[in-house]
Amino acid sequence: MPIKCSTKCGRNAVLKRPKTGDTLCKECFFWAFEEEVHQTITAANLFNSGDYVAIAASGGKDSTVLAYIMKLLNDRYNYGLKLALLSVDEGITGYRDDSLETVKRNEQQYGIPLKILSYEELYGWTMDRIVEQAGRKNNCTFCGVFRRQALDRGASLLKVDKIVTGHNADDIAETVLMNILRGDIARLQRCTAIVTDSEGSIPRSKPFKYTYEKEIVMYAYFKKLDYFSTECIYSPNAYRGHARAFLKDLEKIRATAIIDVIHSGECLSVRDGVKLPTRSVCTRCGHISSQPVCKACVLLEGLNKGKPRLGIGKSSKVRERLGDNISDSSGGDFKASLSPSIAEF
Amino acid sequence: MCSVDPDEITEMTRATDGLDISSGNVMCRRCNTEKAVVVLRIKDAYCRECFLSYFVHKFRSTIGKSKQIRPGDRILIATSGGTSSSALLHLVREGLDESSHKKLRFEPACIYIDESCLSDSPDIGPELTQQVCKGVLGLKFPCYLTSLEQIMSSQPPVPVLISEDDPVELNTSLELKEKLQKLLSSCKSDSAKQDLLEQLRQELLSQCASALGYQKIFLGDSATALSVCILSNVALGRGSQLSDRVHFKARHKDTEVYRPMRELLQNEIQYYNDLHDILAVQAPSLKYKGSSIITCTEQFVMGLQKEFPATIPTIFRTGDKLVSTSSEISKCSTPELNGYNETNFSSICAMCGLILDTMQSESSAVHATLVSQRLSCTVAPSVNLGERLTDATNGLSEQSSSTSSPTHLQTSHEHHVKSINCSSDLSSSVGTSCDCSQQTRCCSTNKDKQQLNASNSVHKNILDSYLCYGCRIIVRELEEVNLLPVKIRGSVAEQERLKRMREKIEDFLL
Repeated sequence: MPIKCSTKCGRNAVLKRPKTGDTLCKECFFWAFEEEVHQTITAANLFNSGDYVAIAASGGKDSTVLAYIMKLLNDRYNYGLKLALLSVDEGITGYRDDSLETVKRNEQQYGIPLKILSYEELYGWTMDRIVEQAGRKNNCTFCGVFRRQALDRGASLLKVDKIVTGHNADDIAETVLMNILRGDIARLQRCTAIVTDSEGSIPRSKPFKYTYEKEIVMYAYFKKLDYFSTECIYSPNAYRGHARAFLKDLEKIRATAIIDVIHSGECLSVRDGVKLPTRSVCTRCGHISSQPVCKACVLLEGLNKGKPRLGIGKSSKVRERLGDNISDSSGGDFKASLSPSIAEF
Repeated sequence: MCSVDPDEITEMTRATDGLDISSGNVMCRRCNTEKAVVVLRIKDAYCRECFLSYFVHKFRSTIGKSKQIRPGDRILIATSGGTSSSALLHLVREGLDESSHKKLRFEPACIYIDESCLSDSPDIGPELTQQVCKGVLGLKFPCYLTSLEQIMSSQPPVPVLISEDDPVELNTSLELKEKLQKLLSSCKSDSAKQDLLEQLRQELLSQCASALGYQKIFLGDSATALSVCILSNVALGRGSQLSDRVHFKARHKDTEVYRPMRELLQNEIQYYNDLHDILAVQAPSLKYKGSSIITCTEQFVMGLQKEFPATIPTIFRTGDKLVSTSSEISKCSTPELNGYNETNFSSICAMCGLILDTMQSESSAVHATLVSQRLSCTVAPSVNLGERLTDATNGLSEQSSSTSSPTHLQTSHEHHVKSINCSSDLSSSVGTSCDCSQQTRCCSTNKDKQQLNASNSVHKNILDSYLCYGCRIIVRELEEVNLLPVKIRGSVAEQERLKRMREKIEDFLL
């Protein structure tokens, strides 16, 4: 006996929504999914008409569905946006080169222009070489820090007004949990914001903030959207894996746990009297930083000087060592980058 | 105490092998003269005297540095008979007896909540109660006794004072026990059950303290328990209430709740008990068949702690620095009527007594949940939602026979209005003409509604607006809302009536 769609539209249900437990038919599910993203966008006033928006695309499920949805909603509701795809090549063989093919296909399929930036051209290092140097622990730090800067640089090259990323509800809930576990209250306060604080840099927003990962997969599956689905080969050792496993267990017990964690995160703020990092600008490359030298410059310096662990660990020790390095050698070779804003060491 | 910058992110280092002192050759790291008997923090060995002085100092300084406990304060110490509670009682007794200027100066009494109605074998209840009360009286504290089912009664609870000679006889009410058990079995999930019990327990403690005339309560929560509490509350959607559940001082309606054991780890407390031969009692508790959020969190934290020993201290320190953002928002509720209560009555949750956190902006998780629920009941605008992207898509979109309509903006609006048959309709029955407090026919679907006090039955939708996010989740998983304690429902019904009255006379209020 087939189950009927719970919207009483008369059609047979083909899936059960992870978020609410309702049984829905395909069309009602598509509608609910798209409408929710639309509501998220309008409630938070993410865009203005005429904005030029870059979609951060990795070729994975989140960014593929994001590109599809952005195009769809832009047409359906006349947001008046000009869209572009922005992709970053970290240089991980067997992972990134495959997923980039997917992004190139997306460019064809959705008709959205694509720009690819690589770590090689920006920093002179690929992730494969970094892992060789730095070892398998803490390499997510390198990748994440570099990628964020790469996105910012790509966005300013294209001269876009806003960036959107495919972070979904699971990602944000994981981040909340991870920041509690690591004691990072500064990030904890910021991580549930749907738009990053934008003074001096291009605002980055997350339209999928309340969308479950499972529903994104379901949407892609039923719409037959093409994406690349493998885990990064370096990820099993990441600390985030613990937070993720915990969140998955919570989700099994109670499906709404993900949104509950996000709600908890939204309600948290820091007590008066607790020291928070101040926002300033990197003295070497001019990017936003809370330290005198931004993390990306520190990591690069470490890699180039053969001390790859320089950026990992306490910032206070980093300052000492940077001081040593400057008195140690004058200059040092650093591969010239295409972007003029990286200063020579 | 340490040179580590507390605001830096903790580097998560993996655990290494602990220090082994069984050989008897290791010296205490502090005094270096005595043999070590305990190992703290994996590698630090202490002798008996140094450990005890460190432990007691931590306890006293937690109380002292807050400057909240004044000489002569009357304090009710809630004990469960477990490890932390027993240690707490012992520490308080030692502190009161202390002859030096560091002596603790307040007037404590103890209260024990008998939870035997929860377990499958309720006969062990009296025996355990006897044991716990004997322990308390042995430490020369006045001992009060109450039972968990008292929370279901409509009268304020009257804790019984136990004395040495009388046998422990608690006036148990079978009717209340049944009510409680019925409430618990109507919870569809273990998580909701566990969370509900915790709220009921706190509520009962608060009521008992008021009934006995005590303004302050001590709880024996350890740092370990609080770390688990922090994570599990985040998982339960109670992030806004962290400061009231975890900080040293918290307000709960009329009483102040303190947690003096909060900086002591579970293993340290166990060592203390061992060194002083303090026996803890294993209280009867509900066995959870499946997994619940709280037990899952506990397993996770304990497991992670083994791998990364900095976990529990880090979580604890993080929780210490966090407060709620919603305390500002909830201040904009209705003004007090004749200075009714110190705390603005309508801004606290009817079930847990903590600040409401559901008045959030449009761009928030609360709102997103409501949107989802509504959309899951809404039919898609047109059967063939043929959104065609450009021709280059090559069949990515749904193939449809009818043409796509460019006027989706209008049709979608119409269909929002058409959302019928939706049980969680946003336009809830709060504004409807039926006055729930009088007419039970339309609201209560319970067959036993004749047994219920008519003026205290509430409809789920109405109850929701008086609950915080976490309590709403519990209520969502209850089969029948009117099984909740009478006092909770009564206060909601009363507030609802006041609100209705207010609406009628709003235009004339100055």
